[in-house]
Parts: sequence; C-alpha cells; structure tokens
Amino acid sequence: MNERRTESERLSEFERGAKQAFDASVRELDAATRQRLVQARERALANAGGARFGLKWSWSLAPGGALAVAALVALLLVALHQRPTQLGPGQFAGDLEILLGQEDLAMLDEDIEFYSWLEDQPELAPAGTNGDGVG
Amino acid sequence: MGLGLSIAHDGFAKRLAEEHTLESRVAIEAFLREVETRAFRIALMNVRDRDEALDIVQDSMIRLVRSYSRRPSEEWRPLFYRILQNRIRDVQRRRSVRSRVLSFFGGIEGEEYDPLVTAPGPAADNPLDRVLAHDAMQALEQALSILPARQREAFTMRNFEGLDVAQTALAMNCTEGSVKTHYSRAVHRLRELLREHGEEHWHERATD
Repeated sequence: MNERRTESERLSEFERGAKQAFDASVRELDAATRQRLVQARERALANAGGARFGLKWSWSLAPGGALAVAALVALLLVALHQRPTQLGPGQFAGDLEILLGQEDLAMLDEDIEFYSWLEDQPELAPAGTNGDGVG
Repeated sequence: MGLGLSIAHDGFAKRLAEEHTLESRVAIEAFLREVETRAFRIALMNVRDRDEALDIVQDSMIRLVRSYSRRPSEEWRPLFYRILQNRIRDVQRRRSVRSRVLSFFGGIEGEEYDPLVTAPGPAADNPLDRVLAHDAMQALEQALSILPARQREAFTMRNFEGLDVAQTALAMNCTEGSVKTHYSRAVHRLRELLREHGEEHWHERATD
C-alpha cells in the first residue's frame, strides 16, 4: 500500500516536473517570436469576416515557397512522362492535392462531424477541475 | 409614428449587436493572447520549424475566430486545441508527402528528418537555470517524440495545457475513458524513457 502511494507520488512529481519544464520553455520564447505571434493574432482577428478560402499570410511560404512548390509540381509532371514510377496514379494525384492544398484535409469534415458530436456532449466541467484525478 | 418607433428599434438593435460584437472580439482576443505562446511551443515541439509553427498557430486562430467565436467561451480552449492538433497533423502529413515526392527524384533517399538538427538552441546569454530547464525540456521533447500520436496529444493537452478530461476528450474527439488510457500510458512511458536517461537528473533540472 505504502509502495503504491509512493509510486503515485512519484508520478505526480514527474507530472509537475514536466509541466514546469514546459512552462519554462514558454517563458524562454524570444521577443521576435512573441512579436510575430501578436501579428498572427491581429491577422486572425482581421480575417474574422474574410472569405473562407481566401489568401492569407504564410510565414513558411513567405520567402517564395509557393514558387518552389509550383516548380516541383512542374518537375513532377515532366518526370512522370520521362521515367517509370512506383507511384500509382491515385497516390500521385493524392500527393499533388496535399502539396497544393491551401485548406487542411482534416478540416473539411470537422464542422459537420465534430459539431454533431459536440451537440451530444453534456456541459463541460468548469475549467481547472480534473474529472478523473489523473494529473 | 409606427415607422419612427420601428426605425428607433432597428437602431437600438443594431447598437446592441455592435456592442455584442465588440465584446466578443475583446473576449476572443484575450483568449488568443492567453494561448498563443503555449500553442506555438506545442506546435514547434511537433513540427520543429518556427515558420511552420507560426503558420499553424495563425491558421488555428483564424479558424477559431471564423467558425467558433459565437460558441460559448468555455468551449474555445478545447476547440482551439482540436484545431491546432489537426493542423499539426496536416503539416506532418504534407511533410511526409513532400519527402516521398523528393525521394522519387532519388535526391534525398536515406536522408531522414532529424529533430535534433533543427531544434532551437538556447540563447547564448541565458542564465544557468534557464539552460538547465531547457535541457530538461529537450529531454522531455525527445521522449515525447517517441510516443504514439494519441498519447502525445493527451499528454500535451492534459499536462502542458491543463485541460481536464472532458475538455481533452472534446479536443481529441474521443471518449473520456480513452483520454485517461492515453494519458496514463503516456505518463508511464515517458517516465520509463526518461529513467533510461537518468530521470533523477532530469527531474532535478526540470524543477530547478
């Protein structure tokens, strides 16, 4: 019994340590990153009434990544005609769709599936309470 | 007279709607401000690329504001983290497709993504305790990267973000029982992994 409690205490200690390490890593974020997050938030709020599939600023595509993707697709199309490939036509089309897609595939069914599930759920427990005592 | 009353009523209703919109905007802005740094850190932990992590957070914010800002504010947190996890998965999937496509050209076969190469390093002027905490987090991140995705998600949301079981179930689109199982397995596996690398030392660094 004593051993069980000790194990449980060790687990709690581990969980506390993990949380503290994460919190410290958040506090360490540099000013430039924080500034970019502020800009991202402002863009999100400004985009609130925007078109669902409209263009938006992208940090990762900003330096010309879109051009690189277009070039890659062109290369792929040429290469497909010039050499045999292990990629099936279906997989190739799927890959292209993922590479070129601006919207997330997982998001397409999110609203319908998720909200039908959400509606069936009971009221959320108040923030800060842990339903099962785990963690 | 009737027309005058109707116009006055319309004006009042419009002002009420505007006030409500402004109130909602202030509330959701405060929520985003509260979660943005933590969400970024979680995204960075998963994709190991600052620009992509910023995109993920920005997209998640946009999605939340556009689609769910009218939902009760207590639902925002689980909704936001569900969106964030979906975006992280999308980026990881795109990345694996990209790597498959590039390997098709024979250029990078055998080259595997090494999180340690792209992991952000500590700032040079960090005091010692920050370095120690950073080391602890790095060890934890490495251990987390070994876990199955669902265990990692459960641990991230329950432990790092402090979501309760019901909120985590909402965010992960699974039952509360599954959350408890994933979380418990994650904690035990992480402890094992970190013990292999000297948990006592890890714990000292984490709590310093």
